[in-house]
Amino acid sequence: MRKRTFQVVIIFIFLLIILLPPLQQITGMLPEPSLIEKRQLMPVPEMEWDSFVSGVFQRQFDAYMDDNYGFRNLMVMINNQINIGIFHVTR
Amino acid sequence: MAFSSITFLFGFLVVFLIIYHAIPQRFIQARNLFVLIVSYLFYIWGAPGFVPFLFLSTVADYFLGLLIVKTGKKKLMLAISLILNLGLLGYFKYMNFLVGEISALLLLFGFDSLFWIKIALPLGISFIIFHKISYIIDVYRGVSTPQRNFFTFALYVALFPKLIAGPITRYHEISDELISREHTLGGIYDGLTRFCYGLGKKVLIADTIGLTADRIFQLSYGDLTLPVAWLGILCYTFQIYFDFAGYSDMAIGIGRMIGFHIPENFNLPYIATSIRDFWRRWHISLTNCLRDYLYIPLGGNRVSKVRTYFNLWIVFVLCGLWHGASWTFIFWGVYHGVLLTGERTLPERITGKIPGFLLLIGTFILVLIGWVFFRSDTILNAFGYIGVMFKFGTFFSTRDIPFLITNKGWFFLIIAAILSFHPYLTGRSRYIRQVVANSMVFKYSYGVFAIIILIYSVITLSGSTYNPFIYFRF
Repeated sequence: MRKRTFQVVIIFIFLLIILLPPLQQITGMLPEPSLIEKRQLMPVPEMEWDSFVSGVFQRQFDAYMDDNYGFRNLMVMINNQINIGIFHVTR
Repeated sequence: MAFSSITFLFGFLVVFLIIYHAIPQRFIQARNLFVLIVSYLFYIWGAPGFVPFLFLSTVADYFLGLLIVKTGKKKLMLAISLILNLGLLGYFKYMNFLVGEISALLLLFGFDSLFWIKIALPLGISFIIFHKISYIIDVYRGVSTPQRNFFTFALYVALFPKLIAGPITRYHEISDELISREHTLGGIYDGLTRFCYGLGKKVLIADTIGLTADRIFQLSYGDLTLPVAWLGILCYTFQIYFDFAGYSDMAIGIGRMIGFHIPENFNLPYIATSIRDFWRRWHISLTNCLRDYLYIPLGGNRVSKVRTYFNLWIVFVLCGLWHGASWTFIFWGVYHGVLLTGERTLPERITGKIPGFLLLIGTFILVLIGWVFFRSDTILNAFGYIGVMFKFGTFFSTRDIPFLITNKGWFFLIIAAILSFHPYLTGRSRYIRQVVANSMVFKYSYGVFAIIILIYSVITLSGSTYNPFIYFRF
């Protein structure tokens, strides 16, 4: 494979990796395994001027993203498998 | 917003890169304006209340830079800018500390303490101030011409990859690229691979071994044993390096993806064979600033020996103070200043005879002891901790170690050590390293491995809570 072609392939894969989760989050195009979490996942925060200026909205939005990004359940399961199967740890 | 946060990776970065590269390359002003808006959004996300500080201080230095050239009063304009910038830094970063110390003294002598409402520290203030000072000094010295376009200057100050934790990019280092820069496929490829490796350093290595460092430093030093104390500081030594070097790699990588060459910040600091060598390899952008804007104006080493030692000492006390308003940071600076002056007094005929690997080990241990001051909450705790590190009666007390570090922790600690010392482990032959670096297999595997690191980092992020970068504190 030529150097330029190789670089294009790597750039494409990189974009795919950071683009697919938000696409999945927005469209829910693929089915995801379900996780049983004993807590309420963060809902979409409401944006208000006061909460934006104080930074509360930003923190809530970060928490929402952490809980709801695309393929999160799949990644959590793979991460647990790696931790338990390879390192024999839970975290 | 941390580069390793989900919001950044799966929101901010992907939207930014797509829109930036969708703007045609010939409209560089439009690209710059877009980066400027995004940089302010990036800052607003972390510290909305301090945007007026960022904007107004940028306006002030924009005009002061122009006035340096337009008026005959160069020195006056420089002085105003320095007073303004250092005044802001002093007020926001050191007033709480100063008032606290004065209050403690007043209480000691039976007076009432001072009434003071604590001030919040603006995000990235130390880095923002150093960037603006570098611009003003570059213009004052005639190294750079003042930037007439306000938006271009504002972009230099706010450029988001280096905005809140560096590398400190001096104005003359990217002034040309602010106006015109090349966007190549190779540049984007180099940038994204660098970003992936930086993310891996932070998420996989620093955060994993940081868990052990945190567990051990949370214990009272009275409960520690010699092996536990060494494990704790060893983990912190690698954590702080991989955390900050990882952040710098990500900053350099994002910059490269949009055509900027942000300067390097680390060059294998733990293979240094002297403290002087360490500071040429650790936080290089800060060392360069302190050398050019403080050490050399003080007279550098062109003055008497005693004065040179004094200059070194001053530079490192201020270096410690720059990291934070706390006696532990000041002491860390003093410690390095003392080591550097001590090193200079040693005759070369003695140091020249010591084998390289012994100098490396000695330097590493001295640096490691310094990190105890950096990590501890108080100087008393730091001395207590160091005392345990040399409490040889507890040499074989290793029973707590399995509770403090996991298999995963050991794995990444070993990886961290290998990556930190690899020139010594892979052989020091420049020929072998060049052959490996130039081989096509290595070049291809470098790219493929970057993608593997990215995938594993993203998977790891899913299982971890949010871990802020250590250097966001400064």
